[in-house]
Amino acid sequence: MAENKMLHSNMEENIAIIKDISENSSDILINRFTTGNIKCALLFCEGMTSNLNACEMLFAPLMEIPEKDSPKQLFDHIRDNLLLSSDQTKAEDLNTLFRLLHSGFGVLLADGINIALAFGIQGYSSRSVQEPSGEGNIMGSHEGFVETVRTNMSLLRRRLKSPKLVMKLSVLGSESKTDICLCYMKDRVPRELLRRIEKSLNETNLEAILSTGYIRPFLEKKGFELFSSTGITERPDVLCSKLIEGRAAIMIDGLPYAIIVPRLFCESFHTLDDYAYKPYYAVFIRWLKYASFVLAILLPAVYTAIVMYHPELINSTLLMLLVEEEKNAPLSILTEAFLVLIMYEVIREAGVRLPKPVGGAVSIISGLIIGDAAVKSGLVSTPLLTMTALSVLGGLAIPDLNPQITVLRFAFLAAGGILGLFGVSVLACAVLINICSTETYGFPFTAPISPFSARGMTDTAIRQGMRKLQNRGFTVEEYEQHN
Amino acid sequence: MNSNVKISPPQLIAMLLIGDVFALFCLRDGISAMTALAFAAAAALEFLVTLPFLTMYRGGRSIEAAGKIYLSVLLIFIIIRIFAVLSMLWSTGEIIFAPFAASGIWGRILVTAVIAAACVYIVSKGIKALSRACVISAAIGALCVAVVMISALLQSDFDNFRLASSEGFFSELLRGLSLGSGLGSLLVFAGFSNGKVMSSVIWYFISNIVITVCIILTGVLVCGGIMNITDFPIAAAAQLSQPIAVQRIDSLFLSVFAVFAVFAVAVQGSAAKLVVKQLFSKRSS
Repeated sequence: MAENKMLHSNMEENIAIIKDISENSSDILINRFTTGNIKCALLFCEGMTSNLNACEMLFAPLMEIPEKDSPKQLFDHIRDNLLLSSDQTKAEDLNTLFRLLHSGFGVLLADGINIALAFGIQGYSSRSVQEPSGEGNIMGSHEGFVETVRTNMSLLRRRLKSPKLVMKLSVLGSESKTDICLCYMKDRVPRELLRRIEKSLNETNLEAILSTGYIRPFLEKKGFELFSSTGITERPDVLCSKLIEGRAAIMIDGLPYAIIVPRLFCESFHTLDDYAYKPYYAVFIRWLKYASFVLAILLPAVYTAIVMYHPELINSTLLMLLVEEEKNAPLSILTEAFLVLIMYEVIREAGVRLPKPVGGAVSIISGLIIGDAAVKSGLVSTPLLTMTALSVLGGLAIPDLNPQITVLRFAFLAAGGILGLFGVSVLACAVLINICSTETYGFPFTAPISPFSARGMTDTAIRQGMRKLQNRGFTVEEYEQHN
Repeated sequence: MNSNVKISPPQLIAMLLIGDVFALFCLRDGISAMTALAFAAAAALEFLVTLPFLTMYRGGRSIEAAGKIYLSVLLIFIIIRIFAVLSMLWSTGEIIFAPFAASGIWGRILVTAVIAAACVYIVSKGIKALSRACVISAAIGALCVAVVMISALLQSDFDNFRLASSEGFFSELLRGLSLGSGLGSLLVFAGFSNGKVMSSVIWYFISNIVITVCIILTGVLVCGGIMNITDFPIAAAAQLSQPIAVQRIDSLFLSVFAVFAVFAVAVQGSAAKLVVKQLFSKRSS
């Protein structure tokens, strides 16, 4: 491809090739000038650089360079005697030149030399650091990652000032040339894990990286896994806690998320707030979440199974209540349950996608239609609606697992409605085996429950006090299975 | 075969105990204190029988060290066990999965087919996943069984206690030996243990004896008075479990029964898969 070509010594030829490759794209600005008696050109990508930085850091110093005998002398002078930018590099081929240009670098070409110098004078618009929308925390920091990877690197560095924190930048995506940053604590991360992650990233053959979902499958085991063995976080403080435990993380330019490798199932129920509260309250909240998870996926299924197949298991008072409610319902309980759950999913998806001004209408419609009209008309019974609402609330307590909870809820409902509690139990076995077979780079997803680790359980089943936790010296390498 | 796969002693014990406890759930005909004693003796006898075979795993060796004849006999043993477990499921399923009993034979076929399908999926995931899942199932199942049995004991009566059954000790011993014949899978999986094989096996048999005695004695105390009319005393004891006056909890037993049935078959299926793989690899080499 033309972009793989090396630069020419003739500046005009380079400019012609650049214009040809970019088809005279309007956002590439070319400024020709002479300095040091050498013809030069400064290239910028409009909107990516800061005009103020360009004027102060580049234009003024470059115009004051004394006469030079050759373009090589000019470039040596700029490199050795001028400090034009904290991020200064060179490009020898068009590929690198375009990548730097489109990353907000100012690129200097000179007539008679086949390299270009690039100066970091980025000034593109980006979102400021804000509270993360998806990961709420009451007692912790209110800063979240943003779309600029270098800002995210600084958020991490501010919290982990140790020189052992390593952040390696590389480029991924044949067309997007996205900057990705591999972060790890060099004294804690298992070397084999690091090697395998780098190998996986090198083997990706993507054109663009526009979401964490583009990269995560390459970091996970092949085959169907219900739960992801890699995690994501929007919070720098959470990421720091994972890095200290010896995990690796990948930050991607353009995304306010970091991918964490490896991830354990029990961590979906942990938040940083757990470590802000007293241990007894943290334990209570954790077990509440574990129960919420079970409730979220099983409650509609168990209710349907018992009412349809095992009414003898319900006590007589409750049975009479249910009979009274269900006798006028036109649909079977299984159909009702499916309808209510589907309605909820439609409303939830509509609430996420539609524009904010219309959001209020969704609340009114869902409240009126489902909460009031459907029940009053007898289409849906109140006990079923209550069970579904409880199940949905349980799922909202663990937003990290929302996709899995949604699908499993439907699957268990089908199993319970068709085969009763027996169906629910057998499906539970299948789900359990799928969870137990999930692992990434030799780290079992179900650790520290199975394989059991008593040390790991001090921060899973309970939350030990910080005085004991601080001496644990725990790293995730303890869970690594070497087979 | 991937002999690098290792399972821990608790995982090994859980995999084997699930099958044994399931067999207890499916226990037919009358039981007494003598049954508990005879079953404990049967377990001890099985331990003595396995001892010479366990020496094969000394020095970290696995089943790959075994000869073709040994593997073939092991395979036959495991296949017989699979059919035995399925037949236990077939006969006990009628009273456990009552909704399907109304459909007659088709209901039972459906139950067996669903469990078999789940087992095929489980076996396909490999021994590592199976061992991890067995630990979790066994732990939760043990808790549920304890709750069911303890609440069943609330309905018990010491007048129900029967020391001896109409069958002699020897008949009960034979019954115990036939019920607890998961030796094939024990000899296969012992080779994958990452701990000391002998201590794992000893702990397995000790746990087996303790659990067997507890469950049988509970069954005797709860159903002793109706033993003559009860086909499945352990299952009946669970169904009589009622910790609160207004609420039964035998649904818990139903769920545990289904889960243990799935894993009991899956463990045998996994063992058979490993032996077949080893047999064919020996044949090709």
